[in-house]
Amino acid sequence: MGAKDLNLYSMLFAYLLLLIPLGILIFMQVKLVKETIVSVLRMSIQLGLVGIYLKYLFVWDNTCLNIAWLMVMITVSTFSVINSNGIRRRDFFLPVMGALAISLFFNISYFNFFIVKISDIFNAKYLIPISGMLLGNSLKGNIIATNTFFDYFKNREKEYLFTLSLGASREEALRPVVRECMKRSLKPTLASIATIGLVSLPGMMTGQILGGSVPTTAIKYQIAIMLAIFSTMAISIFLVILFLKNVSFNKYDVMKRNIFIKGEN
Amino acid sequence: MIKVANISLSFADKKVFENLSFHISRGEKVLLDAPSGKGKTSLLKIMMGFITPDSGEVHISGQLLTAHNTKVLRSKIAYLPQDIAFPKMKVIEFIKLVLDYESNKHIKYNENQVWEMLEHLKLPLSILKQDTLSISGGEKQRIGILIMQLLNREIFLLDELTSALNSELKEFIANYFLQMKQTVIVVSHDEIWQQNSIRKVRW
Repeated sequence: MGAKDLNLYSMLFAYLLLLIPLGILIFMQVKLVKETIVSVLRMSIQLGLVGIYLKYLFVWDNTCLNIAWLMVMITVSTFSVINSNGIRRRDFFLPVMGALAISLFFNISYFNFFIVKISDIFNAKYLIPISGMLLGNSLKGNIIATNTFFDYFKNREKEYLFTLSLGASREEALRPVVRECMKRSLKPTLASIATIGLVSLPGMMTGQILGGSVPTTAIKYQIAIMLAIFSTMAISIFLVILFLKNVSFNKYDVMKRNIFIKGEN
Repeated sequence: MIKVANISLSFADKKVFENLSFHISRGEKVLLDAPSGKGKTSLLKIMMGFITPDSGEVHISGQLLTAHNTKVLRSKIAYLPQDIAFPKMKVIEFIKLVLDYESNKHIKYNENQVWEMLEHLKLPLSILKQDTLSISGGEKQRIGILIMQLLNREIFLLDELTSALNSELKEFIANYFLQMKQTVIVVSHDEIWQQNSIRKVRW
């Protein structure tokens, strides 16, 4: 049993849904028409390719290939975090990628082994979609956390330097900054965890119900996935800040000036 | 106490100063006197290890300032800028937080000492309970002075500290520093520091 397939006409009708929002954008002269079309095209092409790719990935179900695909996902996420901060790839690629990869591999392995209890924790059908959900959510959190970190140094570096001059070590002076990063990045997820079921029925649950699972199974998966998302986020944010702290400062504990690419800072 | 030897600094190919050298003895009161844009604030930041000069050396208490001893040498200096930036919390909490840093652990919080200092600095006791963001610029600076005194700093670097204060407070702060036994280095455009008892270092 599975969800009903959508034929060409169905998809056409789906794309027709764009007409009204596009009409509104044109009417209100909001300059987002081009961006909307480009975004939708990108989504369609990306998902189309992934659809083909996943089809084979699920059929072949080769551990090395599955892990390679995870690495592609992590790499794309890493660039996304780095670009959102305007920092140099050379310095930050490994720290950011390390944080995302460690957190993801730990959580996905735990999820598949202890919660879903499958013998092959790298089984494509579980590994790829669940990793996508974990990574997608921690990506948002990592962007907020790293932006908060670098914005602090762009706007409030004086506070940090004054704290250093009062005898604080780098670690002590950074403590309030790290707390702020964690707080700001985790709050939105906590808010969505708290309202889940009341406001939204999340994608995974909807998908499972459409796919034929009984609602109680779907709900159990949803609870587990939300907890795993929170864990992946918290661990990756903690690690990314920990690693950033190690590469962003000079020997005098002052933030390096050359870590930002031109045009930033 | 402080020896600046052949220091040069430039920002993006623009020379700020070149081969600057001078010596300041223990307990001296010195005004750094140079036109705007000539790097007076930058020089104070070099002494704190916040900026690395292109060349030259800084010696503090007979020790060459390097990456290895920055923390130790910083702990001898009180750097007080015009707009002191406190993190948001109650004044008393901030004082206790500072005393709780690993390197300050040997200094114990002494309520009587703090009260005496508040009085000396013309601050009300009630300020301790106030939020750091709600107190005025002049009050912030005096709380900064109080904390640095608690930390027994030997050298005070004042970066336009009195610029935003009214004339009465300017005079009070200037006299406060001129009467102390510690070394004081001032960067300021205020007339009040143009006194005979203050040595001028010009470039």
